[in-house]
Parts: sequence; C-alpha cells; structure tokens
Amino acid sequence: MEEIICPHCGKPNSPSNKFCDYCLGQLKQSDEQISEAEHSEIGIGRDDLSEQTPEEYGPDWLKNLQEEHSVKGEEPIDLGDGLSTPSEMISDWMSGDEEESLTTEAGESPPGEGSQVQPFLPHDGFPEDDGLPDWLDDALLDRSEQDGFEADSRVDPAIEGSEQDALQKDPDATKPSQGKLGELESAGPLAGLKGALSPEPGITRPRKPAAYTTKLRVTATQRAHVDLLASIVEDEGHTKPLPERKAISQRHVLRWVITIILLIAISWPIVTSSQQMPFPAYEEVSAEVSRLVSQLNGNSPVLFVFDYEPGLTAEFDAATTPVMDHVISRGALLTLVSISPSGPILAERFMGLMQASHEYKSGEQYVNLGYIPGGAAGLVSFFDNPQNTLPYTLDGVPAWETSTNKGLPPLTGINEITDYEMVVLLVDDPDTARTWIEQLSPRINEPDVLTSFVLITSAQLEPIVLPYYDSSPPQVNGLVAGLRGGAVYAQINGNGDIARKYWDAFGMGTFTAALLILVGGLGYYVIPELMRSPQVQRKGK
Amino acid sequence: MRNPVYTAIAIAVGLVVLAGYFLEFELLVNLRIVLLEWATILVAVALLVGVINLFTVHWRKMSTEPQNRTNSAVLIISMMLTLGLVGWFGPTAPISLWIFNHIQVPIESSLFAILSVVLIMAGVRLLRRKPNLLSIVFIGTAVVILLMSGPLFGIDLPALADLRTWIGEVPAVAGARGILLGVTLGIVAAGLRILMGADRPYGGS
Repeated sequence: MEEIICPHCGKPNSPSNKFCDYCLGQLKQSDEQISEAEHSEIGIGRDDLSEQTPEEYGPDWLKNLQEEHSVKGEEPIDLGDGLSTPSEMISDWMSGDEEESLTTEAGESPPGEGSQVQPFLPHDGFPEDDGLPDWLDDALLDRSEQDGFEADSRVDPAIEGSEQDALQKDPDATKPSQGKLGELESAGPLAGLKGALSPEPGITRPRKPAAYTTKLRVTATQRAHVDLLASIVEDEGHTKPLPERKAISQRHVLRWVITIILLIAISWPIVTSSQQMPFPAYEEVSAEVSRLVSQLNGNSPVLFVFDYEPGLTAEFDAATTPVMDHVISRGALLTLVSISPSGPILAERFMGLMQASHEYKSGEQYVNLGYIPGGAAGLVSFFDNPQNTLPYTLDGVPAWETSTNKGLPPLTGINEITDYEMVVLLVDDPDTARTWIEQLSPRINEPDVLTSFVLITSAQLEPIVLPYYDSSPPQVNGLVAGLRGGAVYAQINGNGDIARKYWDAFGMGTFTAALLILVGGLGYYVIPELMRSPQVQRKGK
Repeated sequence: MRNPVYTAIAIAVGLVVLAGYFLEFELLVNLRIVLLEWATILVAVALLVGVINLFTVHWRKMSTEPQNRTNSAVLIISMMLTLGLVGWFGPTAPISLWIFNHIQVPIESSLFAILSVVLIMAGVRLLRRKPNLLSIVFIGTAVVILLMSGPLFGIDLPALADLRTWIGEVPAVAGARGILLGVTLGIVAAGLRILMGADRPYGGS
C-alpha cells in the first residue's frame, strides 16, 4: 500500500489521512489548491494557460512536429508538463524568433525538421540565462564535467557511478533526476520540457554488460542429491564379491542322479545283450525310400551327400546303414560329396564301415569327390558343371573323363546333377537341408527328369523337412528320420543289424528320460510345496 | 557410397547370374557358370584364410597372454599335427581316419551326451521355475514324443501313438512351415536389397 510523505516533516502517512500523524500538517490539497500552487511555482497563472493552446505557446519547430504527427495519424507528442513551461522561462534562443541562431553555420536545418539533434554542450553555447533554476544549472554543470554528453536526457538506473555520485552529492540534484525520469529534458534547446522527444536507441551511449557471477549457487537439497549421485557412481566402480557357491549344491546332486540313472538304463540292454523290443510299425515316408531304391538298376549312378556333424555319427550310422545296404545291393555306383568341411572324411569313414559287408572299392564302385566350397553358390556350380567344380577325388586323382584321362566308372556319363538317378542327402542342419532342397528340387521336378531325391536326417530335423515331403508336387521323395526311421527301413528290407543293436538301448533311454522329466518335474515342484509351512503358504497367498 | 565400383560389380554379377536362370541364352548361361566357379574358388580361399587367421590369433595369445597359453598351445599343436599327418599321408589314409574316429567323433559325441543330461535336468526344473500352462504343455509334449519314439517295451498305446503322430504332423509341421516361409521371404528381401545396392555386405557402404 502506498504511503503519503508529509510535505512538512517528511514522514510516511496512510493515504487515507488528510493530516500528518506526526506534525498534524495538511497532507492533501484540493485540486484547485494543487493547480494554483503549481502554477504559482512556475510563475504562470491559470488564466494565461487557458487562453493559450499548446500550439500557440510552443516554438515553431515544435508546432510543426506536433502537426506532422497529427497528419500522419500518429499519437500526438505528449508535451505534458512541458506545456506549462512559462514563456518567460524559455530563453530567446529557444523561441521562434531566434530560430536562426540554432541553425549551424553549414546551413543545417534546425532540430525538429528532420535533422539530427546536435549535441549541446553547456560550455559552448548554453545561454547564461538567469531564468534557469539553480538545480538545473548545477546538474548541467556537473554533467559537463563528465567525458560525454548523453543525447538521451532521461536518467537511467544503470547510469555510471560517477554521475550518480555527482547527483547524490548535491541534494538539489535529486529534483532534476526525478524530472528526467518523468521525461523532462534537462539539456539542449528542449531543456525544461517533458516528453518532447521520444527516446531513440541509436543515439544512446553503449554501456558495459551487466556482470554475472560464475559461481554455481547450490541449495542444500541439491547438494544432498549431488552427494547421493556421487556415492552411487562411486559404488559402481567397486566389484562386489559374489556369494560363495556351495561345493555340493542341490543342482549338482540332481545332475549326477540324472546321469547315473540314464547310464544304468542305457547300459542295461547292452550288458544283457537284450534285443527283445519290437521294431516300430510301418511308416509310409520311409517305405517310399525303399520303393525308390528298389527301382535302381545295376550301375545306376547315385549321389550321396554327407552333411552332418561328427557328433551325430551314431544316429546316422543307424539310419543310413540300411539304406546304403539296399543301394549297394542294387549294384549302384556311388558318388560322395559334401558341403561341410568334415563331410568328406565322414563319407570315407562310412564307406570303411560298409567294407565289412560289401567290397566296394574307391575309384571303382564309388568315388569321393570331397568338399564343395561356397555354400549355395558352390552347389549351383556343382549342379551345372560338376567337372569343373570338383575335378579331382579326395585322393587327388583326376575324376572325370577328358581327352587324356579315362575317368572313373562312377562318373561315366555324368554331366550335370540330373544325370544321377538318385540323390541321397544325409543332413542334420535345417539351413543346409533347405539349401539343398531349394537348389535341387526345381531341377528334378522337370517333366523329363527321372532323378529322385531322398533325405536321411536326424530325428530333430524331421518336423522341419516334413513339409517338403507333404507338398505337391513333393520336393522330397522320401525321408528316413533318425534311428526310428532306420529301424523302420531295416524292418522293411530285413537288413537292420546296426539298428537292431541300438534299438533296445534307445528305447530304454527315451523311456527313462520321459520318466525322469515327468516324475522328477512333479516331485521337484510338489514336494517343496508340501514342505512349506502353513505360515509361509499363507504369506504367499 | 564409399566405392561405387564395388557396388556396380556386385549388382552386375547378381543380375547376370539371376538372368542366367530365366533366359536360355548360351552367353548368359556360360557367364553364370564361370561366375559361380569363381565364387566357389574364392570361398575356398576364404576358408584357408580363416585357418591362417585362427593360427595367428592363437600364436599371439600364446606369446602375450600367459593365462591362455595352455589352451592356445594345445590348439596350435593339434592343428599342426593333424595338418602334417593328413597332408603327408593323405585324407583317406588309416592314420587320418584314426585321428577322426578316435578324437573328433568321441569328443563331439560326448558333447551331445552331456546335452541330453542338461536337457532332462532343465525339464525337471521347468515346473519349479515357471509353473504355468505353457510349461505344462511343453513338458507334456516332450514326454509324449519321447515315450512314443521308442519301442516302449512293446506296450501298445494307440491313443498316445496317434497323439504323437498328430503332434509331429500338425503343430510341428505348421510351425516349421511358418519358419520356412519367413526364411524364404527374408532371403528374397535380402537378395533384392543387394541387387538394388541397398545392402552392401561386400564393404561398399
């Protein structure tokens, strides 16, 4: 709430007071009293003012400026209290009669007619007019001592310290300061007028930018947060020791129990030489392979592809042996290839196993061409031009017939993949199987091609390749999957010694594994649940 | 594009090989065959480079890292021994087959044997760790397939046998078909991107 300063004692009073609470002096005057007091102070009566319009008692250039603003539709310059400037107080140089004295020697037009206001320095042209009030005179003299002259006569709060000091030293200087804040011109031809010129930023003196502290001000809460973050980051750098593991944990016990049970179950049929378990029932997908092999004639070229991991040798031995037995019994000539680096040696090993029952010789009844590099690109290259893709056998012997070489019997008449009567792919990897099927199936499904394509896979791959067999037209003509497929094939053809040897152990192993998962899983879940105390169970709920 | 020459060569070769499948022009077919033979030779060389790199890496480890010295030394000695014996006697010699039959095959077979124990253990613990419907379905499927894959002591359980057949021919094949379709579409998209130069696995980007 604003307070009224007593003009007599200078103490603050409530705005509702008419008299000072301290000195009982009159605080407020009526409008008439105020008006008369002001007019008497500047030496002009109300009657004089009422008779004169602002256009009449101002200088000509000021009148022109006023008219110009009116014509342009702009807001007229508020002369304010300046209009109350008494004509006696305006010196001759400021009056319209002395207009010529303001014109420079170069003939520049006077201020207010579009020309720039010239700096006005008191010591070179300020008239020695006794009519100026003392406070204005002093202030001008003080300012003339400074290093420059401000065209903008308004007092700025950021005024330089020396200037402020000069004003503060002289108590009277506060009056003109207030006048300047009220846009009272303090120097030049407009001295004593309020609001005669609007401030122009272009002519103001540049000031130093305000200085800001570079210190970070941090509150106590922020400091606490910073400390917390620092402690968290510091903790991240320290490794916390893991809790010590038990030498023999429940998991170790479970693992060993499972291993021992499985070993006993699998070993039992081997130790007892038990071969009592019946072979699986007839399966069409394996029987189809048997039918295709039966259609092979003597010396029919058959391509065997060995693309499985050595770790699955036992399963593939059991699945492949009945098929290979059947193929060899038909008198087919074999070509062995692979697109995996370990395939050629796997093929050589398998043919070594077959030597026990069949006298197939390398280079005569079969030929091992080795590894086809390049994945799918290598396969396509082999399909189109096997002579250039794999020109030598695994032993380094030239395999194909040329002008200087007779060529090996299994490769006689082979110019492309469709010259084989059958392609048998032994595979355990879904990607490899897909690559072979995608590249080979379009070629063997041509109407004039008689090549058949069968797969021997591990049991895990059966669901992946079954869609190729079920498609129409089939992309795969037959499938023998795992030991079970080999056993089915052996049962059909009656030549399943290896499958018979593995079958009982396999049956015991799968049964034990299923039993362990079923019983062990239920026991592992149910027993701890039953052992939990009722209190813990209630907590869990 | 760092080197547009690589991209141009790759796209041109891809288009020629692809066109060789559909257009029966002798020039295109012969060009396709030659390019594929080059690719085969390059991949074989890459395999050789891989072997040399493996040797170099482990030689460096053996020289600079004391904690890995033993493993790297075993690898390098095994590699050199196998390379020397097979290279000298040939890949089909008895000694080469002996190394394969008595070292590589047993080691890899042992890994599969360990895998069987680990999988059974995971099946036993599954209900304990995640006792929900999917876990029960998973365990039930595994048990049915395992039981009916073997002879089951000659016991005839037609319902379980039919269930095993149904699982193998319907849900498993359906899932496999979905996977194969997805893979095929992905391959087509990857091939098109390479042909258009959007993917540059040969280092042109």
